[in-house]
Amino acid sequence: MSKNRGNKTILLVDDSETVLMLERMILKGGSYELATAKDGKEGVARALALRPDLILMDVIMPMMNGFDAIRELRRRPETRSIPILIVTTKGEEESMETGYLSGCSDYITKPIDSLELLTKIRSFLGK
Amino acid sequence: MGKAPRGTRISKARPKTARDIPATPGGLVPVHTQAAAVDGESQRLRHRVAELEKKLERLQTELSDAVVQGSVGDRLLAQQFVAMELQHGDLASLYVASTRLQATLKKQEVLAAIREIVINLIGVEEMAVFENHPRTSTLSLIDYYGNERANHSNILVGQGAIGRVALTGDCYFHDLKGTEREPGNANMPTACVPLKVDGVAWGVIVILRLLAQKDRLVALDYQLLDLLSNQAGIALHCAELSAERSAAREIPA
Repeated sequence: MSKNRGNKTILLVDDSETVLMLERMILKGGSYELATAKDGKEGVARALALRPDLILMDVIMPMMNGFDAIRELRRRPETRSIPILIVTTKGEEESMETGYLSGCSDYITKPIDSLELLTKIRSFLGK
Repeated sequence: MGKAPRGTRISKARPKTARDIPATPGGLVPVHTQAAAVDGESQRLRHRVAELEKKLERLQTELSDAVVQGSVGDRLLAQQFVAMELQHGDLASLYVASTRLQATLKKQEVLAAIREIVINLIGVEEMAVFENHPRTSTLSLIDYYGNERANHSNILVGQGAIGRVALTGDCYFHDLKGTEREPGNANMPTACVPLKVDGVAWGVIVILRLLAQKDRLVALDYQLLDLLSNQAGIALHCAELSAERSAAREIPA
């Protein structure tokens, strides 16, 4: 991914190609630079390398789940302040609590609502 | 499977797709012709998404200009922009579903794509896919996601909601709040959708439970299920044909 000066970078972390493809399609009109990772471990590695402006993180993934990946990112000074949105299938309060405890900034639930996703991202990155 | 629940059978009129191609004099539509039509639908979706993206970009610029010029009261422009973003999101879902179904000729990967579409794009906690075996008039479970303890035995074609969908080729919807049903109860599916090839049900997708935060299917879900009904069966059939051809090649002459 070549980083375009001025454009915000978003890292999309999900093990589902279907979800990654949908997120890319929803976000590509917003002049964002998009990068992807297929699991939590790769997500942490890519976040450390790219220092994105925002991370969209799935919860249930192989290798390392989303909550553990967020904890890892929050431990590192380089990635501590990056806004992280979790994308969860669970709408229950318990899941949200776990998310906030691990250090996520906000959440959206599946199935992804394109307007909700764009609105939350704009609220962190500006228009 | 026992008695089917009361529900709604829906057989909707819809725009031209693979199943609308005129049949050959023999009565059957060649699978490669159907596959080409599916590809055409996917290209049309891609084209519509690209058009919307251009319109969105233009509207975004107009909206930004209006804000800079102080005419923030241009509510109509803002409403247009939101409506178009919604439409773009829906079309993106349909395009992604169509593209994913055509991305492979391996049966297990097609099944995985169907699972991902249903779980992630519709929002489902429990689902199953049954294959129709016309010789024995039975349906067998070939893919499942959800409650591991659930036990789904073979179903007779014509029996219960799932069997009737396989027999008639009509969709079945029973749109109750997901939490009102027991997990893994195939007697109470939320939706049963035929996977059509040549107008015949190759199999049936069964939605058993929606995600907790989702209490009913919405318009986009019906469009996605319609797309699955017309494209997923053909994708599975093509994968089987491809596997048979590969196997035949491997047999020494």
